[in-house]
Amino acid sequence: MRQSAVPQSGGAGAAADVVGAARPSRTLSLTPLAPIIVRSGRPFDGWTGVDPARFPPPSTLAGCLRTAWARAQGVGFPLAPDAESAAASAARLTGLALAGPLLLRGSTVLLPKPADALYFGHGRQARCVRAEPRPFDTGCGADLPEGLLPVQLSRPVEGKPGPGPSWWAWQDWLDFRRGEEGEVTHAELQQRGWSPPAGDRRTHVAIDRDRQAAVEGRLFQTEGLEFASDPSDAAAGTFGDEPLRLLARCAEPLGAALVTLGGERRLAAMTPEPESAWPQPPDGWFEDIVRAGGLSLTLVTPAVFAAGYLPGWLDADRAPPDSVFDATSPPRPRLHLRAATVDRWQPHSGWDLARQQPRPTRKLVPAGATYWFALAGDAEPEALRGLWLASVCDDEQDRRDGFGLALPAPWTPVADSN
Amino acid sequence: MQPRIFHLHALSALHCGVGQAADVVDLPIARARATHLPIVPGSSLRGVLRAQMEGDPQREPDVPALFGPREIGGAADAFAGALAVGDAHLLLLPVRSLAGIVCYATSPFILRRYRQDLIRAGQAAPPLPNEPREGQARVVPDSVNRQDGVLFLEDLDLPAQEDPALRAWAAWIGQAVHPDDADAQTDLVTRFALLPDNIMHYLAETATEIRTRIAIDPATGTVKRGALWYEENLPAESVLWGVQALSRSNRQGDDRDAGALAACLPDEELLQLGGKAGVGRGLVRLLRREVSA
Repeated sequence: MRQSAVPQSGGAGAAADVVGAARPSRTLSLTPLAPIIVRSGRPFDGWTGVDPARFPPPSTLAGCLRTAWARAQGVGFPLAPDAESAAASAARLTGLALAGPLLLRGSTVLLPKPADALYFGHGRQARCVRAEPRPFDTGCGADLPEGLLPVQLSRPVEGKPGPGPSWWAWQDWLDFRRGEEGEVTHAELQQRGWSPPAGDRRTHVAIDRDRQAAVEGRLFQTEGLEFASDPSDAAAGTFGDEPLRLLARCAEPLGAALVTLGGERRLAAMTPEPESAWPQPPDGWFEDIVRAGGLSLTLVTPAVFAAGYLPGWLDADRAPPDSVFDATSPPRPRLHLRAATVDRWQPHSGWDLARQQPRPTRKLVPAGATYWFALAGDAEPEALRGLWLASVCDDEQDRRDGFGLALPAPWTPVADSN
Repeated sequence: MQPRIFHLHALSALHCGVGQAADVVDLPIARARATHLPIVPGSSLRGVLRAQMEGDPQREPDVPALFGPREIGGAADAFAGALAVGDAHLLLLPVRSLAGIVCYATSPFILRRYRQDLIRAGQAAPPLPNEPREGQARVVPDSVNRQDGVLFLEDLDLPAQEDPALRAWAAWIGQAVHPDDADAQTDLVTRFALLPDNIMHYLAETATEIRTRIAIDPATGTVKRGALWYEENLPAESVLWGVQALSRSNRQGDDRDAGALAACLPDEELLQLGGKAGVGRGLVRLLRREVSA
């Protein structure tokens, strides 16, 4: 059964019509008005090359929304000149919890492609194949950490990996997680999903005001990510009319405003959305997890874990942390990790406004990473509800910044061996 | 941040380029990555506006608060300028017309985006007009471009339907671009046309102004070998719009809010924008006055 869990909200045009009058909301969309520039902070030179245009990480969005909130409140920003007041303002700002960004096209939520979905082939031969935890065949083995199962393709595939959309429509994501193999074709994923276009690269010069000519050595390029209509539409002679928007959630309600997002102070229009625009779990979702006896957790924003790709809480009480959004979270379920699939790590840094210095570079587990768990002991469906789009990062500040949002889905644990 | 719509009105051909390109046109203009419509990057406009204000002793003291410090010695000196300038997008493209010499063309997609930005800036924009049918155009009732029911633009002949609802948009843009000139407003209104998106896309690609340039060898008085190149320009009379936003000052010791800083920016200013200034390109009027509904 294909059932949408996201009620219809207004499209981009409808949202814009009410921008001045919309009531503040904790669920927000941001429409970039120009290509957004986000870099990782990784040093580069002529040998290593620059980063390509990058999707905004949670910290970029958190900085943007916290600034908007501070400006709307008229307190604490810019940071006060004396150190004590500045520290208090910074603590108040960083204490504001955020979640996101996800993507919105019209009223459809888009999520990063799960890492256990793999593309093979090109053109009409292109297909999407599921990978899943399975025990080793007899006589086979690997140096995986003890107890972890290998993640293997669900069916034999000939040919080489191929391209495919890196963002999926919400319904396709749900169908995939429900295990409806073959229901969604590669072409449908492509049509309803999104692949970031090649970056918008601009060449800049600095002009010497005395000579009115370019300053020697001040030639540089920026590369931004375009969120406007699909370039393939432009090639066909039309422009498309559904710009992609970022979807976020903030602990404090915010109203409509123009904000700056990412580098070069590029502008984005922030619009309050109905609370229901944030993805909701389908009916019976958590009951299904309890019945299955296990679950998968798929990251929809990049995560930071104390132990690299592994959450630190697996070494403690094996219970994911409390939701920063819900102070009345029910008792947390205890989980036993059975398998994981994680793409290559992403470098990440930023500017610490309070300390006026760059943040240290960290390794992010990319969005789409999937972890499979068996429920340890009995669990109530209500206890699992707190995992829905909650952050599973180890550090509380990372959770407040929106890193590591995860979506649970039913998964039936498999035996250790054939 | 306090948003405001600005318009750019090109008084001469405008070349905001992207450097060199390995294509038929050696020096193309900047275009939006997704739509391939011409733009003036916000960074170009911001830099020129800054230079203009720095050259005026009365306005120069406001420059750091609006644009940030010119040189940054360290983190302690750094602060963000309060002014964020967005890209300017094509609103009206002047297109050669068999009747009426020139037609100011736009399309539903462009008007829709323009209207969204107007609303974001708190302005009560007119309702969107009906879209033209495939292969047809819509014009104001007293259009000077319509001849025997047809609009002849470049090498296209488009059946043109009169639409009184277009007059509100034509008058709105006329008022924004020529706020104190009733004749110029009338001129714009009578040459206003709404084209289907695909035709506008085609014209924005093919009806820009391509100028062929050569360099003369001073010794021989003839063309230098290899010195032949093509430059693309937005034609004079093109109209673009963009969004700018002001926050309160981020400069230590300067407590001015967005409203106070907005007073430092001109309502109308003549700028030289983009490249090839020496051959007369890029004379542009920047207009920030709000249109009364």
